[in-house]
Amino acid sequence: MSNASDSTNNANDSYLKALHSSMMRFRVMAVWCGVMSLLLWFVNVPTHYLFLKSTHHYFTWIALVHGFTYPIYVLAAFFYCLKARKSLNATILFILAGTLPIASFVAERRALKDFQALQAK
Amino acid sequence: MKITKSLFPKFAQVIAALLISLIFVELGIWQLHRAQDVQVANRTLPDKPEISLSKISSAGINLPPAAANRIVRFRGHYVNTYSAPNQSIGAGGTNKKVSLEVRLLKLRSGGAILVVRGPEELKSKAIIDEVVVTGRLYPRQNVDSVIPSSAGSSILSRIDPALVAGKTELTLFDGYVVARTENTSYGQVIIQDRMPSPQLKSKAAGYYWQHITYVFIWWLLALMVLLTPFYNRMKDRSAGGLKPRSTGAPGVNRASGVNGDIKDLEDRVGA
Repeated sequence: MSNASDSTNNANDSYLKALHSSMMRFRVMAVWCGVMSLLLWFVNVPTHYLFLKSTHHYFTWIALVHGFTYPIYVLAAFFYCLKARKSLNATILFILAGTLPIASFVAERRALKDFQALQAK
Repeated sequence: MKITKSLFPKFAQVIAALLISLIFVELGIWQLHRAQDVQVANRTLPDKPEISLSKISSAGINLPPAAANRIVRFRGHYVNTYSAPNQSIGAGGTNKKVSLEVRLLKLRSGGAILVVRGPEELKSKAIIDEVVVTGRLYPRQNVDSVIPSSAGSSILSRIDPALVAGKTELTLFDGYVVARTENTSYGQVIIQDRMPSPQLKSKAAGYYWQHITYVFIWWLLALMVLLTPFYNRMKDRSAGGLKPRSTGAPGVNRASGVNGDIKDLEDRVGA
């Protein structure tokens, strides 16, 4: 009986450990994507279309870096959602959060809160 | 009958996933083409051999697309002189703004064309003799460099034959030529400060690698959409030690998010 309980506890520990590492990967990428989205929306795009157009060539790297790192965010979010057993809708929202400047920060806080709640139990 | 009913939603899911992923694949292909367009637009092609203006364009018609950027040769007499202020010449990577001397040249073969001779000099030369001009043919400008109302009769707010059409009886060629050389009919070279006449490149938005990243993103999303019918199975498998119960209807105890996880944990730990 105690053997069965031990093996369940071990399974839970290893699950929490795996969830923690995938959550950390997601959080890092969410913060990174959030910062890059802020730069993209409030620096790169306005200098391309609205004002200070002559300075736009200084900020072209933002779109490139965001473009190259967003797929990593998508993968991190997907694997985190799989591990956290999120619903398909929640997974889609987590993935889309990387395209909006504030949403990825919200998603990052949400992931942490969920994990803490799970840990507390 | 029962099997058909239970299979139908799954089948519909797979079809929907296939359609959506096909859209994403197409969007990726579109971005790939955009990347290729950018690459082509930024490529400098060698100039084609010099050609007579009358062979590639005619007076009174729109400039044929193939004629733009060609080095052309023609002969005739200058009939009018204009000034085009605030024009950027972009020599040596700088975006320098100068006033340009633009003359209307009446061709021997008929018609007239605007010729940009170079930056405006304090005293413009009187050129009475017939001249032979070679230069690059550009499409007409469509953006004013000065406010048109402030421009006098000899000032061109942009280099566009439409602005001089009302001031001459001649039929005009579309576009304008930036002169590279001017010779008299006796072969004498007319000395003048010339402005650079680089190939006009079509503006394709974005950067090559930026479009390539979009290709990657769209195709990655297509792949993920293809995986959606199997999402629940993947979710169960990746939960590791916390496998859902094999008994019971699918979806039981698979509540979304943390609540489902907590329930699972509680059930298994026996809390």
